[in-house]
Amino acid sequence: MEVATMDGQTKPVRNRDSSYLPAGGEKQIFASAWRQGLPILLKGPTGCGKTRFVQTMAAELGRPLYTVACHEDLTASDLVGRYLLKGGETVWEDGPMTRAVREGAICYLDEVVEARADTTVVIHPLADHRRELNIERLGVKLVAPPEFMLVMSYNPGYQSVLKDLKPSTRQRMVSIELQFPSAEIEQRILLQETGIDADTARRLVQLGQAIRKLQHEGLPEAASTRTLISTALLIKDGVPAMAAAEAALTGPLTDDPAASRHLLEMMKIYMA
Amino acid sequence: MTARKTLLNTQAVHTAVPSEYLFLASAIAGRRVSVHLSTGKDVRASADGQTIVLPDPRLNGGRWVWESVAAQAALIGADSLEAPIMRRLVGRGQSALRYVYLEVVRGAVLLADRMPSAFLALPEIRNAKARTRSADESLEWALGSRALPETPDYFGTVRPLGVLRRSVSENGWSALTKKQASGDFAQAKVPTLDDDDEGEESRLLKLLQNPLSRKNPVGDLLSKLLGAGMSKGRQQQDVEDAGGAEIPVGRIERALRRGVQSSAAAAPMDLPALEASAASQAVAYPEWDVHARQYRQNWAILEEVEAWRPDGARDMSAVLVAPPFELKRQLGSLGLDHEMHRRQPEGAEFDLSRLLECAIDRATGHAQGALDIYRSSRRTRRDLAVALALDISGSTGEKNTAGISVFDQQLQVGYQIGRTLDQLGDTVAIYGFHSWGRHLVRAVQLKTAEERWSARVGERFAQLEPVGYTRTGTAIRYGTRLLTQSMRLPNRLLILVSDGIAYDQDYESSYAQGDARKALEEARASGTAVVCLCVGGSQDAVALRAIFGSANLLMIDAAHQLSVNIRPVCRQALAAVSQRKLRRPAGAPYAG
Repeated sequence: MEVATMDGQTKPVRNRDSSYLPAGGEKQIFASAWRQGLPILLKGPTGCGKTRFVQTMAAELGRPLYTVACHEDLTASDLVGRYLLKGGETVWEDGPMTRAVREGAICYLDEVVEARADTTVVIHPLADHRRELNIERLGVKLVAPPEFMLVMSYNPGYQSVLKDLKPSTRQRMVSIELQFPSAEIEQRILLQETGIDADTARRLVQLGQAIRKLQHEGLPEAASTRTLISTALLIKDGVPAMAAAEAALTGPLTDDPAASRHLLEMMKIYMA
Repeated sequence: MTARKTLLNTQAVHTAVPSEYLFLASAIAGRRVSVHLSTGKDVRASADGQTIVLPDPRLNGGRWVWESVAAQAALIGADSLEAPIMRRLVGRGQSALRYVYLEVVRGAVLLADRMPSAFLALPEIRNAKARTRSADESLEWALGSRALPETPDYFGTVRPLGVLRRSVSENGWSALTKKQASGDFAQAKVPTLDDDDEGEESRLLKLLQNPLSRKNPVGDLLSKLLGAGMSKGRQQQDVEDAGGAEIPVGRIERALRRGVQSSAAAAPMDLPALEASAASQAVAYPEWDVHARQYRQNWAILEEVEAWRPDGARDMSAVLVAPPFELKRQLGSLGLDHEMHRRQPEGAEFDLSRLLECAIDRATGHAQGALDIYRSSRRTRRDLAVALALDISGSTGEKNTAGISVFDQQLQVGYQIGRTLDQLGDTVAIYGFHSWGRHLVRAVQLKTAEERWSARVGERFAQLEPVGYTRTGTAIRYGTRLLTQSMRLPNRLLILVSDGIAYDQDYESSYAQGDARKALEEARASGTAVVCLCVGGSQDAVALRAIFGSANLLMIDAAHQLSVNIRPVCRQALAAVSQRKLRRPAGAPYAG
């Protein structure tokens, strides 16, 4: 892939679309649920590969993918669609969910717990045996084609108790729990995604696996596979290992000065 | 401590101070571990399962610092320090070193995924042959006579008594203090007990098997330390193994120094201060000296640790029972605040976004009108942060007439309150506290404020044991700091669950009461309500009222009485601070 830069020259940009490396039977369950018309709930920590997994599966199943990043102001009409005013006329525009149903695509609701409660009105009939999408404003009821699939992601431990997934939603889903990959797989992911040398990959993975064992104040999240990949990409691009790890691995992890200092010391030993 | 840091910086090859290795140690160990610097003459690092003690860098030229940390952390991470194994290594210095060699090598292989490459590349590790596959197997090798390579200095060592001192059960503790109180301890003639006792024939073991010394309170204590491991059959076996050396007479030394410290007032023997300085992520809190009427700055050093007991988790099914529904009803109305509700049929102002939607619906002909176009503010929002401080000192190990310990009742009450408030949507932090003098106050993390409630919380409760003493003032200041600095919600409540005995080294009677009272004053001045909850046990009601005031004190005989009485006490405490949030006593310092 090439993009134009400010001075009119073109410059290559790495297009990282290599596929997800499975750690267990998650691919089989996903494909099977798709064939059987069952929706999927993906659980797992930030940066463990949930989005990459869905992308890979959509490509393997040959379906288009609609991704919606949910936020606390996301309403049912953001999913289904709404009337817009265009030059004095009202025009209906399909939301991503409606488009996915019409096309038989995979609709991925990322961090679904963040969405407003009224979205369940739309999600529930689509997630159970009815597989229907009610578009109240249009007065129509779309029945989803067999190829359509609903996928939601959810990060347990991240949301507060008050923002938990309702049992009535939860029980409509087939759940796949993704964890950070094992050291061996994570090392292969780094090699595959970044083309970095094996020794550096091993050190980064050891550091990442070690940081995941920490439960200290000032470290709300663990070092994810995503941050390891970013670090490896910087190193591959010529940034010294120590500086890359500080910028892409420990830096994003915490703002707490004591925790950063401790992480830095730990990183020095692992990367030296 | 500052002086020590300077020393390290000038002399050590690796210039980092132990606290810099806090994360390294915890990451390899797989649980929270602190790193201390030995102030004694140890030349090898050692660990007790929660703390790694590094040798004074002056003794070895400051070499091998992080390598020692990694090796000792590997011992913790590979579960090498389990009590049954430690019991068999007591007094066997050479076998202990052989065991360390085998276990560090085993740990390095087992934990290779998260060990630093630089450690795995050290020649002693890289070239080592993995001989054993479990700690038990290593123990058999260590006790045997097969040739093994020399244990490198930086691997450190194990100090079985240092690990086992944590096993002093509630009974052991109270037996010890009772004997102390009745003056049963012989002043001078107590034997020297030391992990550094190098004799393979183990004079220490002989001492323990000697029926005469068994009558000795020190012998009692030690047999409790060593626990069930000293069964009949094993004693005989050991007698056969051992030579016939006599027991030297001296004073209890390092074995006790590492843990079971008694207050100077109660112990007729001379117990030295802890042989390590807490340098890792510890926070110094001030203490109020009621006699001098001034603060002692940076006085009590508190560190946060993870719950761990060498004997493994207890079965807590009888203790951690689900909270009664009544408790939820009682606590449901605490700490509510106003919140704006949208789309209300009545209210003080218009809900503008709803109005716009209605206007569009009308214009497009979808709906004629709607009633829910107001916003109204109602008292429904939960804005309560609660810190639960559980007293886990040795004195709570006392059992009541029904045979249930105060400790277990306290854990039950703490667990139920925490669980209930969490279900209600409040922010809850839970910690246990105990101490061994002002340099070693520990806050055992049971649930942090950010963490969601999970089975992990119960698992941590199961790792608690009642040991140490009570420095109430520091526990209150720590809780206040948590509430005001990390949780930051408008309504703050600190619930102290204690047997009411404030007692630590140099911390007793009027001094302890004065400091606890001052800590409460500081808490209230910063807008934190404090409630003291006493369950069962034989508390001194008068002293407690003097500290907490009768309004903020709840004394119940058993855990099930909790639901009936807790609401009025918490309500009053919260109401009292909400009126005086901005006042604070002149000159009061805030720690941290």
